[in-house]
Amino acid sequence: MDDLNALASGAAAWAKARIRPHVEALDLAPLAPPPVPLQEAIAELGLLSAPEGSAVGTGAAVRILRAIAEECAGVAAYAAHALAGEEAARRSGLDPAGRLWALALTDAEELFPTRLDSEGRGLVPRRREVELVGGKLQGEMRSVPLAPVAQGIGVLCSSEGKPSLAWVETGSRVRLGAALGRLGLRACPTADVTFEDAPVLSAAPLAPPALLGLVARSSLYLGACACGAAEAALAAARRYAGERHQGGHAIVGHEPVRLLLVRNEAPVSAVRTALSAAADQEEGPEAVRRALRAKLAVNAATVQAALDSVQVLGGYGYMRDFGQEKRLRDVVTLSLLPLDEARLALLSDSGDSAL
Amino acid sequence: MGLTYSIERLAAADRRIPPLLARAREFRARYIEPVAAELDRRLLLDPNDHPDDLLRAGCRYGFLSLPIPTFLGGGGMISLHAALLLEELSAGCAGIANLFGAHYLGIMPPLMGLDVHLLDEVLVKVAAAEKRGEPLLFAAAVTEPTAGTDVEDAELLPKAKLGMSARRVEGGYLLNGRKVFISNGSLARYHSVICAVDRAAPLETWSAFLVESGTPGFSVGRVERKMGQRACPASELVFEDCFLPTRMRIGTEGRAMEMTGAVLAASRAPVAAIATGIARGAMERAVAFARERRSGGGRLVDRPWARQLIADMASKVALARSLALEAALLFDETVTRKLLGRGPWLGAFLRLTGPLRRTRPGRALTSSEPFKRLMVRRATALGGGPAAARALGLSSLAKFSASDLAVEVCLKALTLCGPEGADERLGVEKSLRDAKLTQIYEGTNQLNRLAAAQALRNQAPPWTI
Repeated sequence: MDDLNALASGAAAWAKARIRPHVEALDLAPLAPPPVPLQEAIAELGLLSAPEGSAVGTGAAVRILRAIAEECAGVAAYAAHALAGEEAARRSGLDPAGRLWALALTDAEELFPTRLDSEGRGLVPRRREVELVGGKLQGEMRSVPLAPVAQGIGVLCSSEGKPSLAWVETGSRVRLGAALGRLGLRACPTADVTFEDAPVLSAAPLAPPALLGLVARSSLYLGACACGAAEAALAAARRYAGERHQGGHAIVGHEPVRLLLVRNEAPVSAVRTALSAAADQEEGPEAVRRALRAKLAVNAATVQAALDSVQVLGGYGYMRDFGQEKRLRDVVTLSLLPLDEARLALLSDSGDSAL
Repeated sequence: MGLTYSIERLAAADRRIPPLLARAREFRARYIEPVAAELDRRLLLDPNDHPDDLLRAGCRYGFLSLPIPTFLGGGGMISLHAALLLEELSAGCAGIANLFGAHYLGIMPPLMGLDVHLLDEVLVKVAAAEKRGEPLLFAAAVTEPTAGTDVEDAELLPKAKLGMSARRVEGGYLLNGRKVFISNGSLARYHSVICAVDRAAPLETWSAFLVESGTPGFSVGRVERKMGQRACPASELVFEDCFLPTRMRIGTEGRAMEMTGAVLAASRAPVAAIATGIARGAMERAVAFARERRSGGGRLVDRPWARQLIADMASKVALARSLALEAALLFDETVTRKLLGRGPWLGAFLRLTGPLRRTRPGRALTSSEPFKRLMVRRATALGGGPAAARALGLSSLAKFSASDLAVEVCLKALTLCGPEGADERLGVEKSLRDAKLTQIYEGTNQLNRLAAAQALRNQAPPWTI
């Protein structure tokens, strides 16, 4: 635990020094170029491209990401997506060293039976956005995080009607759309990707437990980002409430404001603990279940905390210069990734029997 | 299912409503939908980059003169009609809608305060200029850097840390200080500024003034970079020995807090309507997305879980609208009708003596202290009392309820769209950014809850609010 805390402290110090001066500029992407090369900056943390066997564990990664997110959730999300992509690439037999891998998980829940036929068999929807035919990918994937900067993309696709995970290099026959403007996490570039008979580096069928594992890993990392951002929002709200005077005393003394703070601090603390516990669990079906459920709980708690944290600051909370509204935008965006609450809930329930 | 049944009934009873709604829908389709997203992006980089053509177009549709009484050349439609208009415009873009909403708010102090002199001097000009296609905007300036919630509540005001004051001098007042987060602040020609004459006794000396842009000593400071509703600028106003003649004081000294109650009662229901419109727009865009998106072998919109979400959103929009219209109707049927309608002598006086009032002796009379005192007494008698308190309670209830519901609807709309919901191109994420402000301005929802509870707490059951 001391080691984990030391890692988190190190990440926090790094974020304060390297990211804090650029948070406002990073939040203007893609309307303005990034002020700092994030891939290189994140590499300084040693989170990515670690030699085989020395990569940080999931528990450590969650703590590091949470610490970064307290400064900028967009940068933390960048690292989270990169880490999830790299781990998935490694498990697929690719050498991720020195490369950035995006992982396109949109529509993951489509790969599971959504209803049963008269004989109780699952009906798997056949149509997928992207299809693998003759070793080549065809189709379009929308809103893929890191696509504009990645060297390779892992894509959930269908191959002969069965779910698969295929890996392509960006460039040849992989067309990227313009970087998308988004509600939050603007430091993490996102784009649509069109595959025009793109040759794959590797492809393999994806059994339900493996798919759930991918989603669970991403959920943990992104959930950690949400916790960090929500905790920073609550801390800022509490500081402000102690300094701002209305009605003759600090607003923290007004009951409605105190309730706004306390009613959020407890749930955020609880989901942070649940997320860390899920991350510390040994890999396996139970770890996957706990990760997905933790992310669902994180979504609800962090979004409410961020909404109320803006509210405590009143008009100042709504203005970009004070940083609080950015945390709300980031947390809400994180609640939609890698899947939104409804799709994630259906996926975690559909897949439960498959684990 | 008639989600707009209440609007249909209202339209059948009030023949001004159908053409107003038609104009609102046309304005949304022609002027708002094509530019809202791009305008939002441009204003992120430069909050000063405001297109003039939107307001000029609003002139052609009669939006700026909507609440100005007919005897002054305006539309004569205050809370209910403003609510209907603003809901429709907000479904396209709440920032653009609030250009008009904030304008209506700025008009309320001289209107609710029955300052006949300023109605004749200024509101007539606004209505006339609109006919020429020239937008003369209003803004209301209340919030100060260290006093936000404090300045909207009589109990909190005595302890407020005020920075602004209007010191009495020969012939008028000298204003010094700053107002912040003023909607329309950088665009408005006229500002209804509310501040203390004596900061040591703010409640007793709380007064309102009409400041015209260009007045020496008045300037616009920073224009804020906001999370949403960017099309309506929020600006700082700076007063440095800004001299105002006494005739530019709205009503009499020390009566602004009572007037604020009527102003907020008039304007909180339209803010609830803005929130309703935002929610409706988010729902419309999310459902449009769900119709096109494939899922589970069919359309996303046909998935049972999606239909649950859509029903939840529709329910919340309907609830928000009901409260907004209820509150607006109550205000118009109690306060507006008595204050500006065909009541005893006042209504006839206002309608019939216009030409006489605008002569030099007429102006001297209406700007005189005794006349202003008389009108303030009438305004308090007609627009105050239990009816006004009830209207304020209901409009506060509508405002916080509708804005909370709007945020919930926007979050559900994002969920329906999934990860793509965060993309600007769908327009749903903008709705959330716009909706959040409705929980903050016009009094935070925490303050609005207090106001609503205040209206209830001294009533014996059965409670009617």
